[in-house]
Amino acid sequence: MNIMNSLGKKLLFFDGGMGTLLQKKGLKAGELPETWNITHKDEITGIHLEYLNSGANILKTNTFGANLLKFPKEGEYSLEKVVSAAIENAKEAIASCSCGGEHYVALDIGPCGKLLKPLGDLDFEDAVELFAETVRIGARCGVDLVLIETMNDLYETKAAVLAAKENCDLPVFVTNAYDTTQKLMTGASPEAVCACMEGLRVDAIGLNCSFGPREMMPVVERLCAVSSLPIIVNPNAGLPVFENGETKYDISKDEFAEMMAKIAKYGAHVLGGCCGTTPEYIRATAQKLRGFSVKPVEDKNLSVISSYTHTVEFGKKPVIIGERINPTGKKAFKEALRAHDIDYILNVGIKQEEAGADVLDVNVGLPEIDEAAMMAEAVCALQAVTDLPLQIDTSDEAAMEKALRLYNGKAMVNSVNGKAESMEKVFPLVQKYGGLVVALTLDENGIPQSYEERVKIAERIYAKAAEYGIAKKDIIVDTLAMTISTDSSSARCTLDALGAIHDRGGLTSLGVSNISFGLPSREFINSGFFTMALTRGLSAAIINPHSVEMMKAYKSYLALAGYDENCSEYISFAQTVTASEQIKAAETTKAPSDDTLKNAIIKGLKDRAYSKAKELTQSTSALDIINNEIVPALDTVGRGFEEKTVFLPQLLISAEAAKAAFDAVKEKISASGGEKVKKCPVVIATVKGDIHDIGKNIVKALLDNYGFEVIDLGKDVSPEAVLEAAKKSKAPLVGLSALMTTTVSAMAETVKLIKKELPCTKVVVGGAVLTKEYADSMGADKYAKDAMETVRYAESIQTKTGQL
Amino acid sequence: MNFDVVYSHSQNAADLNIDQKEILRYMGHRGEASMETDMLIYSLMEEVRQKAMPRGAFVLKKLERLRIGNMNIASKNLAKNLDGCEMVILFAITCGAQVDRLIASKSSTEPSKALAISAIATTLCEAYADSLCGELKAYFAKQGLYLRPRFSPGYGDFALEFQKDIVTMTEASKRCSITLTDSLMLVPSKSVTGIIGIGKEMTHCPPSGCEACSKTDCRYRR
Repeated sequence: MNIMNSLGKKLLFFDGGMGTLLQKKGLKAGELPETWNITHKDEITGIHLEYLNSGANILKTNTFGANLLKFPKEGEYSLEKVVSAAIENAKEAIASCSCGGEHYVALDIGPCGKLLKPLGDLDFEDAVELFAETVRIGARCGVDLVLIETMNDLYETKAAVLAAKENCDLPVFVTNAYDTTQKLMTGASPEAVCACMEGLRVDAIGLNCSFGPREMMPVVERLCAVSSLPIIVNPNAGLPVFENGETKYDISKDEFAEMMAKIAKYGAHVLGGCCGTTPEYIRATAQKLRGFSVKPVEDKNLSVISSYTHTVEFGKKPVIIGERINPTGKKAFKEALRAHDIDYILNVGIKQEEAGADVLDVNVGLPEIDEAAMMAEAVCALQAVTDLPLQIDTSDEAAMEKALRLYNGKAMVNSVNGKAESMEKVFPLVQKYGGLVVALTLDENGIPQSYEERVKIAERIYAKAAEYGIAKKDIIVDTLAMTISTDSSSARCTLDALGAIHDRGGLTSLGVSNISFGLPSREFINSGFFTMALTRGLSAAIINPHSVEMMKAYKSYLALAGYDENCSEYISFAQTVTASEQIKAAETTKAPSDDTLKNAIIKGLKDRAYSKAKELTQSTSALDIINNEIVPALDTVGRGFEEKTVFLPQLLISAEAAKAAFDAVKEKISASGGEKVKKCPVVIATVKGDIHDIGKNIVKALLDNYGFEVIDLGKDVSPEAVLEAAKKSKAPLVGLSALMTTTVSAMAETVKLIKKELPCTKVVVGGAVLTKEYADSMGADKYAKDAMETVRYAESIQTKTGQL
Repeated sequence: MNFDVVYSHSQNAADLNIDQKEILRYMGHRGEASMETDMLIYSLMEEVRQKAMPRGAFVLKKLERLRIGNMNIASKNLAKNLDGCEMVILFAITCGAQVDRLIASKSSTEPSKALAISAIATTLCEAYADSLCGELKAYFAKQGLYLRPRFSPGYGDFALEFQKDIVTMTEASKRCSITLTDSLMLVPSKSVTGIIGIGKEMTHCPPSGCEACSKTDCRYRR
């Protein structure tokens, strides 16, 4: 029997909890429940049988924690033995059950007990492999489906789903554990989970554990509203909680069944139980719902993408996609890519988010860099600092696959086109990882001049996508804005094609600014064209969200088209625009005597420092600004810190203001093609095993300010990686930080390796638990008690090596 | 409350009192804060409260000759703290992963904000631990029992390794998503695990926290 024939067509029942029953039968605290598959075979089979007799259709194998972390190869019980015994027990129960009906064995996979990077220390691919091992054993032993359950992190859920999809052809069910805030503990909304799971083509989604059926209702409702997949609900019998100074206990089986009946009416398709539920709870529920016919599963036809927290929906309010993470035509961006300056990319992303972008386009392609590696790194770094969904923008197949794989959600994919080769490359990736794809209306014959031909290409792309199981709702057509400076009819053709696609119920997108290429004051044309496209039904625009003209057009359109209730979004936008214009005006008129760059930095006025420095670049050389204004200001603050009249927060605020001033100077240098002003390179890292990097980042900010070329390797860095970076950069100084007594040994190891391989390189160490004695004993050249001391030490090295 | 049953706990971050002085201390600040520093903290406080999800789990255990289940307390400092107790509460609490995200989002671009958020969250986490202890104190007071000051792995000679036992026995991974890295760091970073002794007599509290720590040159020391 195949469960897919029944799933969503009739109500199916999961079994209930296993752990509580095992505890009652004598499982000791700290004992691994999965070992009972071997040591207490009869008890496990007995529990399974009881559940079958109570009306359960699907048995969860006793393998919740069965993974290589808990059952390592050299352990007493191998993973293979534990999992195969578990499946055998479930199968035996089914064989000996005389109650009839459909029965299935679900390979149960729970969280691995570690959090993935960047929050924790488990690498995404390592997590996939961890789950894969369990899946392979399960598939070999002949389970009917895979159940991934109690996941409270979306990224870990994705890793487990990929492991299942890549190692078997079985149906994959996923249930997550939500918090009372109706989110996963790492932030995902039910809608975001649904978008990601549908993209990964799982077969059913839902929720389990956390709380009882009553508290689950709101999440069930939200899932039912958006999901085009069957819904599973496996609540607790109410976990014991301590609330308002009192302990609260489980709900009764009858109350449970009552609530479950309501949940079934909302539109759930598979019901069962989790912690605290017993065969009695399942029996009561199954009896209560005898003869109940489920709500049919329907395609909600939603066009959504998601980040690790939320979804962005297309086809309603037009979506703004920030275009700035792209090296095309940007000298500084190209330089940052070549120098592997990830922070630069992050900064561009965060600023667009602040400017109002809904989605960030990510393009890091340059001929001379490894695009796949850079794309993977950029995606991981971006999704650690912003919760906006990303649009993966690349024509490199490997880069696209890596990005889609590592992306924590359902991404936007930029792009596919009407060429057979392009579709054959892109669609399999979207089929596997999910995504909303931008489809360019061009093919082997180029870009058609007539709008009808562009529409035909779109139709061909829809048809081809359908062959891969990619629905029209996941295709967004770009009818290609081409400059009107060479062809005055090009805008009309683009808009007519756009209107036609919109009329056919398709989504549309445009890279708006191409329209004005070669013309002066491009923003005039861009914003006008943008408004025209919006009125024709544009669903998404790739624009520069910092452009006030574009945002004016957008916010006005929203207000005029009825997307802005009470015009509140427009009003607050209008206020910020006028306010910033007024500030600019005020700044240019009044200039008090202490209004110097130096003072702005000392006071930590970031914007002021930037504009002041920019002003100075008109009359003063870059070197003079740095030496006569920025450096003295930093020194004043730094000395204050050393004398304990200024403290760390103020030091950092000033450092950030100084950075803004540096940025202004750099812009000038870069514009005039002058030389970079940098001191010697310094490699810094938080050591292996250490995932806290605030201290290291503070040191970095200050070193940056003092003009050092900082090579930041991040956190949890192996000794070998530090050595390699030191060798490659020929840095005379390496700085290491460690926060805990448990990671000091990794620091010692790193120091030892560097001293052995690069005896001339100096090593400075610091961190909360470190002391001078520790530092001396591990052979470091210097123990720095704070960031300023590290800077002073770096300056002394700089003087000795005499660079600059 | 029953022995060996894990209880979940949650709290609204908005209801926790945060002491501004503590935030400054965690930021490495002494004395009166400058206006810029005050502004910095003030501007981020609300955001941290919004992102924080104070969640916890605890379990009541019998203490027999310094053993709690399979866990043998090889710590003189803790033994002193638990002197005369016949039962203990093991607890694990967190402010949630979203706070770590918030710190990370500012870390590379605005380290001053990252520092402030981290300090606010640490203060919030300690406030949550105190609030849970307060609730438990009131609960046990009704039975004529007294709580000892909470004691965490890493205090004095109570080894960090014990975090493993506490995380396991409180089912912290499942209940509130607290996990440990290989190097025994708690994830999310703003989490606390610990032990609270329960005794029949009100004792003069032995020192704990900063006062019990031997690192006298720590810049965070109270």
